[in-house]
Parts: sequence; C-alpha cells; structure tokens
Amino acid sequence: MIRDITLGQFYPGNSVIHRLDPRVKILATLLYIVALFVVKDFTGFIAAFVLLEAVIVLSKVPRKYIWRGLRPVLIIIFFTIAVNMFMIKGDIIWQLGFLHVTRQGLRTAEFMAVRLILLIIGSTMLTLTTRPIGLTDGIEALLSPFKKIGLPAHELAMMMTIALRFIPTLLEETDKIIKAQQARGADFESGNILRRAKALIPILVPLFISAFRIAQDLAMAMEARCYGGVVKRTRMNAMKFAGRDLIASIIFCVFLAVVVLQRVLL
Amino acid sequence: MDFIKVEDLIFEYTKTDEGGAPVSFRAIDGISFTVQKGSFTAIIGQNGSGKSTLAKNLNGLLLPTAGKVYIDGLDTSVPENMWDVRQRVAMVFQNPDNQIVSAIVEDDVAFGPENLGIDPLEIRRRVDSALDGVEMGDYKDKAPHLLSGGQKQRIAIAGAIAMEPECIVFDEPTAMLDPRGRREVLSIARELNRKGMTVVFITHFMEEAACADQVIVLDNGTIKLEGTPHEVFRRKEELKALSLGVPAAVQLSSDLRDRGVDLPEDILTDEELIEALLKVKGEAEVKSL
Repeated sequence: MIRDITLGQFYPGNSVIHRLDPRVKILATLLYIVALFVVKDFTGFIAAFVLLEAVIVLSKVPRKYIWRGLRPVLIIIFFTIAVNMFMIKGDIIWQLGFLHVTRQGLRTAEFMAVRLILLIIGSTMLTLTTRPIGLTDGIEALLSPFKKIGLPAHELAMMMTIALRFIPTLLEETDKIIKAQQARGADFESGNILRRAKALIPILVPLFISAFRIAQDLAMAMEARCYGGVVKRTRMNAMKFAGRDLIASIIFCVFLAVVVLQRVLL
Repeated sequence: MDFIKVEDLIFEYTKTDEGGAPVSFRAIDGISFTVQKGSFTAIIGQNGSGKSTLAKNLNGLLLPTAGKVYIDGLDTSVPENMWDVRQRVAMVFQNPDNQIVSAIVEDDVAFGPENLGIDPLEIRRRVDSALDGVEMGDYKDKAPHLLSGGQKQRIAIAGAIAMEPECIVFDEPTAMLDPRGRREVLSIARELNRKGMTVVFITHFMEEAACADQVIVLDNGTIKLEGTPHEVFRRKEELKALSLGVPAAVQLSSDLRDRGVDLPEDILTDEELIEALLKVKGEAEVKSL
C-alpha cells in the first residue's frame, strides 16, 4: 500500500507543458493562485477555467491523475461549502430548525468551492508536469537572487530533492517498525487519543534513529561521488528559456490582464 | 602497474566513553598491499574485520591515522588530491536505498558527473551509456523506490560508472540482496573488469571471491592470508580458524577427493566442478567399455 504513493506525483510525459521551463511554470502557478483571489465574479473564473482546461488538454495528463490530486482535499472543500452555506446571513431560501440556507450564502459557497478546486487543480498541474528535480532546480533559480543577502538557495534545493527522494524510503521504514512493534504485542488501535499518541513513541524513536543512520550513509555516498556544494557543479538538464516559454508567458500575461481589468472595470 | 598502493595503513576511530573521555579503537592495524591496474581484487573477512573501513580509506572518505594510501600515485592524505582521488576511485555501498540521491533514476546517475562540473551534453552521453551498461536503460524515468534491491544496486553502479573512474570499490554490494540480485551485481562487476576497470570487491560470500585475481583475507584489522583464490582457498583449516569457509565447489570437491574421486586440486567455481565431474564420468564410461 505504501508503495503506490505518488508524492512529487510527476506524470512522465513529453508534452509542451512538460517541456516548459520550470521557472516559468512555478511563477505562473503562483500568479495563477493570486489571480484566483483577485477574481470577484464568475466571468473571471471562466477565464481561469479556460486557461486551466487548455493546460490540461495540452499536457495529455489523464484526468484520473488530476482527480487523484483533488480527492484528499474534498473534505476541506465540502467543509468550506457547508460553513459558507449555513453561516452567511441574508435572504433565507430554505430552513430546517436552526439551520438556514441563504441566497448570499449559497452564492459564496459556490464561489469558494470553484476557487478552491481551480487552485488545487492548478497547483496539481505544476507537480504533475514537472519532475521533482525540475521543481527544485526552478525554486533554486528563482531564489538565487536572494543569495546576495545570504539565502542558501542551492542547499535548500538540495534538501528538498533529498526529502522528496526519501519520503517513500522513510514510509517503508515506518511500515517495518510498526509491524515489528505489533509482532512484539504493541497496540496502536485501542484507548483514547492520549493513549494512542503515547503508543506512537515506540514507532517514532526507532524511526528517528534510522533516519539519522540513513542520513549518515547518504552523506558518505554523496561525498564519494564528489559532492562539494554548489562550486563548479553543472546540470544535465540545464534550464533554457526557449521560444515556447516566451509564448506561454505572453498567453499567461494576457490572462492576468483580463482578470485584473475585469476586476477593475466591471 | 600498481594502481592502489597501501603502505602500513593504520586507522583508528575515536569515540567517547560514558565519562566523556576519548577512546580510540584501532580498526585497521598495519596493512600493506597493492592492487594492479585492471585487476579484480576480492577482500573477505568477518563482520568487524575492518573491510568497510579499508574500503573507505581507498578513496579518501577516511584518511589514514598512520601510513599511506596512494591512488594512481596520488597520496590520499594530501587535501589537494581529494577530488582527483574520488574521481578515480568510485564506490558502491552496501545499502542500495541509502546511496541514491534523486527521485528519478537518470538524475541520480547524473549526480556524480554534475558534481565534477562536466558539460551537460557529455553528462547526457555518460548517463545513457552507464545505464545501458547495467541494462537499466528502460528504467531511466522511473522512481528508484519502485525498483528491486538488485536493480537499485545496478543504478548505484551506473552512478559510479558515469564518473568514468579507473577503479570501482564495491563495499559488500551484495549483502542485502537476494541470490538473483547477487548474481546480477557480481556479473556486472566482472564484465566491467573484463573491459579494463580495476575492481576491488569486498564481500563475505566466498563464491564471489572465487573469480578474483587476488584475494585478501582480513581479520581484526590485519591481513591474514593473501594470494590467488587457489592459494587462499587451499588453506581451508586457516580459513576455518577465522570463521570463514571456502566456496561450496571447493568444499565439495575436497570431500569427493577424500572419498577417492579423482578430481584436480584447483577447482574453485561450480562450473569448473561440473566440468571435472563430467570428465571423471566420461573416463569411467570409457573404462567400462
């Protein structure tokens, strides 16, 4: 079960979206999220939806992967809908005991749900079409102007790369420890919250120790492969700002302009 | 030509005891040997015999407490030589999981060359040829955690090959693998050696040492036996005293000799034993005619 986890859920492919410069994709995603909060009515969301739909179609990522990214946050979406539906005051259109649904509430609920769904799918598209290493390279490049004020951009990116790589390894390790402790009679399922939290200690302590051991092994292996920080290091897939990146940037700027103008003028 | 030259190597680990006072533990106690360019050297010994410590001294991950290690004439204890030494001597470690840096196979193989500051096009060429060399070309876009232990170890070997070293030190690369993974790793090491790579193969499986040019037996930080596999595995009693065995084929052929089967003394591998037995069988059939 632990083997199928898709963190850093990259969907391998060679579409135009996959080949875009990670820097462009990261910046565009950040601005897209901001844009979703600038939008104030449904016409703005139509623009956002059309852009996202175009990206999905171009990326050739099967919809079930996109759905998979949305599934874990469905609860949050439903919760937001419920809270907005019932809590906002206005013209009552339906009532049951102390619960009442208002027209304004319903509208806000729809609005928030669309905003959240677009936001999550938008950021999922970034991770689905960009390999983890591209993401960390992109973040490193975008952060590197801050090196001047002492931000260790390369080191941060390397830490993210390693964290992504070792999530499955540590999950497997956790699985092993849980089974080993259960074989010795540990009980993780009964009792109140406090007791269950206490029962986690025999998992966490060995997990920490093994994380340190893995870190030590990995550091040794990295040193053996001549790792010495950022000095003289090159990249196999160096990032290039190509023609398609320029076109994508222009299309995205048009979208931003539409959203902003719609907000200001209408 | 001597590629690796170890002279009176002593290595001590320093730990602190419960009172906080430093205690030193001598893991390697005066070792000297040489490894010829293009040869296959097997180092065997029990757990705690100093094998891994020795391996880490061969590419400057650990530096000698006393004595010298020369790689291609370069003294590992001179700081300026460190990168040259590590580029010449690559390493493959025991745990296949804990030596893979990146979440994509080909990016991991590229890690070493990237550190060396090589041109991106050249890195691409090296990564592709290294992955083909270990027959993992089809897996270059995969995530390492979805591969088997043997496949992960092949990725680690590809990562070493991509640095284009002259020597690869394998530090018990088969200890955590199933029999199939062990065979794959050993056959890749032999194939590399056949193409001219100097190989130092540390193991506690005697069968894996049988195909080496030179076998070094370590115990308690010192060299107990040294020579060709024939010379070393002939000394069964001494090996037994060190709690080490001999390859199954050596044991079986010596037992058969004791029972009067006419087998040559120099059998090391299963294939050689099978061949010798077929010959004995053939002669018996000829006699009975």
